[in-house]
Amino acid sequence: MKRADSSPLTAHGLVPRTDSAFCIPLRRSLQSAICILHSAIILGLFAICSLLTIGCPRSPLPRPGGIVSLVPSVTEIIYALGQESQLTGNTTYCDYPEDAKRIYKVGDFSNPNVERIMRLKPKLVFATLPEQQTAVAKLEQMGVRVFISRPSDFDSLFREIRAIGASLGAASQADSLVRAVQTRLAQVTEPEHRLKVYLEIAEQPLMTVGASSLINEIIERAGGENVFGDVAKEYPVVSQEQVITRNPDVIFLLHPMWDRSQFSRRLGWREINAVKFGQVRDDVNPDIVFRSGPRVADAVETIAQCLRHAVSVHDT
Amino acid sequence: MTRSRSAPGNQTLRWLLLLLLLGVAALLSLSIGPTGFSLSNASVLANLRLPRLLLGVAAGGVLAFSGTALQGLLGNPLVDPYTLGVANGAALGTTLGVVLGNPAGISTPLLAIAGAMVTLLAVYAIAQTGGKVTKTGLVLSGVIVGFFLSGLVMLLMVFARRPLDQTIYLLMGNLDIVLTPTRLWLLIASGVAVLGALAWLYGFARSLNIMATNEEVAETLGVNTQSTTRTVFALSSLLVGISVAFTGVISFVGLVVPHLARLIFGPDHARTMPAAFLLGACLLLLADILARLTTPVLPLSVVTAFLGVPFFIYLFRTR
Repeated sequence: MKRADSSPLTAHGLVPRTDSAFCIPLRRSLQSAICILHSAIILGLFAICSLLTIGCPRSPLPRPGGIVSLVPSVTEIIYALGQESQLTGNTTYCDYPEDAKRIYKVGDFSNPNVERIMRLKPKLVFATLPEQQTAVAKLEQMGVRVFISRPSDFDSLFREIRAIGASLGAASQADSLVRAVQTRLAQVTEPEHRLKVYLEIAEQPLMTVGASSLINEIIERAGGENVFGDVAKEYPVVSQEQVITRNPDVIFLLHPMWDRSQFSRRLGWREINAVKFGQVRDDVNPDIVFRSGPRVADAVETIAQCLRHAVSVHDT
Repeated sequence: MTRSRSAPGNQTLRWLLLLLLLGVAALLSLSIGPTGFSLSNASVLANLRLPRLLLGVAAGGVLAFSGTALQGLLGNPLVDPYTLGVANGAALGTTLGVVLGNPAGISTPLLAIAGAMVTLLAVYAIAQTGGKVTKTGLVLSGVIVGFFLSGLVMLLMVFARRPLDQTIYLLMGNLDIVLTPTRLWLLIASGVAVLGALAWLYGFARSLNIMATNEEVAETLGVNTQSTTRTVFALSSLLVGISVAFTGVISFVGLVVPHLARLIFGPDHARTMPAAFLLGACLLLLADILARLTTPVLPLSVVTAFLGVPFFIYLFRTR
């Protein structure tokens, strides 16, 4: 038996340590590997932070007294109302319409930078809860007027568009925008019969939309029935077996990771009507579904079109 | 369970009861679906419930088994398989896989296993001073590396725009993994590796018994404590890394099931290690059954804690 290193003699330095020839180089290379890894991580973090803080804003600071939108859907509403000249700041998530990308960025959706907002001296900030709780609390503490946008269904969305219009001095534009969206919604051709819809927003774990989500109403207005419409939670986590038992006729994949060809390889999912009839859709733009702005009309029209197509496939 | 510690007659009875419990849990796991008791069809049984059952047995068993080995090795009742930081490495790998994309493939579990391996080496290298590792050194190094890595996980999640809900489920355990043929093969290969590692680790049961009494005595009795420490640490970490790669971090099982096993079967590692495996498997299967009955489903760690704690308090108080 080899003399172990922890014997009392070694511990007191009376006998030279018996590091094996294998151990020392391994340990040294490990230590240097860790050093390199560590510095790489720190450098990476530094790069990310500097990109976030000094990446975009080389342009001069906009004039004070404008409005700041921390919510991509509100940014879309402001543009639809034609009030973009008042918009002096938004987030890196605000990418529609194209012009919104050129507005001064105050951070991203989940981490808006309060200091950058304050530099703009805004008269009004649009935010949402619960994601922006911290920023909202700080802004209100500093006496900034904050408008919370959190529509849970179409009626509250319309009320919100009118309220945003009123706060920007564009009440009549808001009125006609709401009417335009409502007209488009009224003209949507529903499929001949209601199909069961499963809408997947994440795979690990499986996540879908429940009754308290505005997306639930998008599905219903498009003439579909959300198979998890009985669950109150906004974005419930569900099990594979629950999806299979509820047997949806159409599946919408709203996360970019899976496409329909990979989807058909899921074990145990072939029983589902949607898979049997090839009605797994990966071609719907998630932004029009997730952003509760004027483009909800696009979302309802697109989903209704998919459902009408599915009805024709199911019937033949 | 009875109070007498090692009456040989009772011992057999306890093993039988334990196996019976596992059998019942397995049957329940196969026959309970989202709508309650239903045998469902062959496809659901073969493609969903059977893999879920096997995954539950493996994950619960492995966590409890390596937890027992580590508590024995480090002589510390508060150690669990996650203390040594490897789970955080695996979680970082998982997060990286999810953030980078391609979750339909096998890159996510592979990244998780790679993360566990790198963490294992890092923890060991940091703990090692002057060619040897101490117990305290391992625990400290594991805890520190673990904190650093969980910081990185949160950082990734924040920058990748993930909803907090997803992070919670991703990190708090889920046996409901979407299988594709490729993932199934990876799972089977990992299963073989796990079996090998379990058998190897079980071979250290006697050394662990001796080391638990006194390390210097162990040396004179011919136990190479350094190499035992190294191998037990590496094997347990490997096992836990693989388990986290597939099921996420399921808490409680690896910490308290070893105590349960010792309360029931006494301190001999040759008995407590397999007993902990069976108990861990039972607990996780039962927890998984409860977790899947609700819509939305619950994170597993929530249920394991609710199930295990009262049982543990009962056993502890009646001792």
